[in-house]
Amino acid sequence: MTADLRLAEAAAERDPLAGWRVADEPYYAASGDEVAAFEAAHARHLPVMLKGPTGCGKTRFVEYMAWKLGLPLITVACHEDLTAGDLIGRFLLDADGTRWQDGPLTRAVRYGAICYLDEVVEARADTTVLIHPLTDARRQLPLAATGELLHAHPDFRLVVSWNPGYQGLHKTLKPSTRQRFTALEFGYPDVAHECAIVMHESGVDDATARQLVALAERTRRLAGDGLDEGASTRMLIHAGLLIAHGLSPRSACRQAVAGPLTDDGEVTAALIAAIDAGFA
Amino acid sequence: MPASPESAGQRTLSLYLRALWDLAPRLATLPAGTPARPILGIEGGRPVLHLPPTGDHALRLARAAHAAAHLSFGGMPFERARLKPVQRALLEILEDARVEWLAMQALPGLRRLWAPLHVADAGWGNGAEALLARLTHCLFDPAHADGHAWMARVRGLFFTPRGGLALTTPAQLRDAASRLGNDLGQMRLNLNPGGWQIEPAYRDDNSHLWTRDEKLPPSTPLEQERPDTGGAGDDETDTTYERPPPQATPGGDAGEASGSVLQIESALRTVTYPEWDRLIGRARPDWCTVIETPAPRADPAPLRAGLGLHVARTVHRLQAAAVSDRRPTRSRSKDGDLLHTGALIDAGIALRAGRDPERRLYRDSATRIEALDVLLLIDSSASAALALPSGRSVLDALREAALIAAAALEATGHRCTIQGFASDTRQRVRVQRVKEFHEPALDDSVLARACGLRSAGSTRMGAAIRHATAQLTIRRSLIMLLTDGEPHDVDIHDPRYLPDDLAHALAGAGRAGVATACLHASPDGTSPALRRVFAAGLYLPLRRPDRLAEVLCTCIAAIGRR
Repeated sequence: MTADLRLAEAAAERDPLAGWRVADEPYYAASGDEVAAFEAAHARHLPVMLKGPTGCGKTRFVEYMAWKLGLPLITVACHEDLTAGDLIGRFLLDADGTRWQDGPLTRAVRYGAICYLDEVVEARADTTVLIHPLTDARRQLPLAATGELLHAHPDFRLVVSWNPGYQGLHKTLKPSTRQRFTALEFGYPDVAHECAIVMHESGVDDATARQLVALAERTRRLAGDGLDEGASTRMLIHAGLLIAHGLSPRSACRQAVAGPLTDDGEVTAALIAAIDAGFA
Repeated sequence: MPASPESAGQRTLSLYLRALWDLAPRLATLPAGTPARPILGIEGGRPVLHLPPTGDHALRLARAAHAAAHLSFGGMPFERARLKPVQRALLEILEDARVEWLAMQALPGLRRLWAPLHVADAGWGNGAEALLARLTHCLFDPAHADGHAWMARVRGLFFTPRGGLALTTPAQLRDAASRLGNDLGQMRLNLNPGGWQIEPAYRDDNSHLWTRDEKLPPSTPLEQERPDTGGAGDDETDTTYERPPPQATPGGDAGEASGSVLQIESALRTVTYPEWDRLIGRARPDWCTVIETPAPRADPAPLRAGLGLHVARTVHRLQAAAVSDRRPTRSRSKDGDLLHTGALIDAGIALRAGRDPERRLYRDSATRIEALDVLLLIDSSASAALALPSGRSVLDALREAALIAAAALEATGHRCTIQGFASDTRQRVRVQRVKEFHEPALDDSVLARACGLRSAGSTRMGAAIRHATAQLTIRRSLIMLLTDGEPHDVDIHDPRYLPDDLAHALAGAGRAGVATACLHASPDGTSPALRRVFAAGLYLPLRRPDRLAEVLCTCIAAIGRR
């Protein structure tokens, strides 16, 4: 074993979550009192549910809070095939026999980190019940496979996110799960904040950012009538990046906004006409 | 009742107006052959834009954007009093230029839409009509070069030296129009008011700019060309193309039992549901009456004969699709949560013997279909009587498929109920119960009721979906609509009304946690209206109804896996 590897291994023993620490301050423009609200929930060990449309800044907010509170952040993108083992861990086989490998949730519980379950409704219901004993006063995680009863590290926090606007077939959280959380509602930022975010993240000038935000507001009027949801802040940033790279604003918005929003021909025609109207 | 291309274009226009200006005017189509200018009016507080039936996509957008500029930036109507026809024409031109200038401040891309349509120039000559058209171009585009001195004078009046708007109040506009009319008089130019039309053709006829003046004779020459948007004449124009909203349904509000095509012998219960009226953009409360009855019984013998073999085959197919929960199986897999004991021993032996161990160390697991509650909703309207090449009717095929699917669903742990529906106006949406959740699908009484379904009436799908949704719990449930037609009823003549209502009913089902899908068995091909309202992948057109049961089960299995 080389000296470097030994050093790395020693460091990993001292701080097993070093890889999950947020080193640099993520850019986040607060649009309300969500930072204070999150800090209060953190101080009282309460789990937090972030609700809001896609691309409005939920994930960025968690990254920012992890950095602000000095906690490692372990993110799990939930999907319908996520099993209990994917969260908790499983036995692996190596040359000496079997070896237990912690899953992301177990690691956060054992060493103290924010465990962020992104789009938690996508996970199967029998997977989500795993978090129940962690979200009440017990703060425990029973590991059936190893017979271990894990008591959560004082720094362990649970955060989940979901988008109530879009629900696939039968995708919803059970009351027994959702009632364990405190909830922070996220919407799209107001115009000034959204402009600032688009400028910061994409590098476009103020006038372009304003046009992009105005376009987003127009598409959001069609939510529920033609579109499931209007353009997200994330889409505007994508459009801004394309513009900053040299594309014309109209082409950039067709590519980053109209195309991803819909496949419906009539809605696409209306979106393209609205994009064309907004840019000289 | 296929959706016409015209209504498809109108959907784009209404989305366009909503997105850019948050406006939801009613869009109507003018009869062919009328003067090809749009007409903007207000009916019952809601703007109505009557559009000529001709024109390409760009022209339609230009018309809609101009009307939206009026609606967004226009003010109160002007009094006609004391203005000569030429002065009124000038006031219209100034007001058009003003609202378009303001619209282009907010949406600079509109210039690209309108500019190609402004073509009047010095080549048009110096007649009164030509000068007005040239003036329109000069005011639209301050950079357009037109050597006529009067153009420079009007621009000097209309724009500030820095390019802003000089005329902002109605009084200023009226005053300017009056003075400019006198200019034309001094140039000894006369406007033939009867022959004058506003240019370019995307602009509406501006009749909405003027108050109705009762003291004036019924029509001045300038007005003769215009259908009046404020009066009864407009309604006539409109009803040629679109019937008024369904308050005016035959039969009034009291349901008329006598003479209906739908027989109702013993009503189990009567429930009213809202219906979405796209013209008012709201749901009309308690608008449709659903009458629930048991399906009458008929001799099931011919039906039973064909079923047995099909059921066995379909059950097998569903089972193959369903497999199991993520319950570990006996077989080995490279991925999984639980180690496979046998695989571990084999691997231990292999390692000690110096061989590479087999990589499949985990117990395999497979996805299970969670138990579904399925409501099979059979369209038993008149069109289902259509005979297939095989000699059976569409309804025969639908009913047989529903029973096979029900039997197969039950054999694989799901629950299923079957109901038929048909309608005869909003007062009479009949739902016939064929099979309850607790009844076995191949029970004699279920088969008898299935055979009792007869095709009659129309297809008010929205009410039927709302009724089905109300019966299902939030447990995983699915409404599967089996139909050969499209939303249709005898009291609705607007081809988009019932599809839009169906879309809202489906959205309501989604909010209630109930999934919806549609199997459309029609030898004619697909239905654009149904394809539009059902989510992608949940509308399944099927040209050959003989494969109905098979496709139905595959589809339910696929939905259950999601």
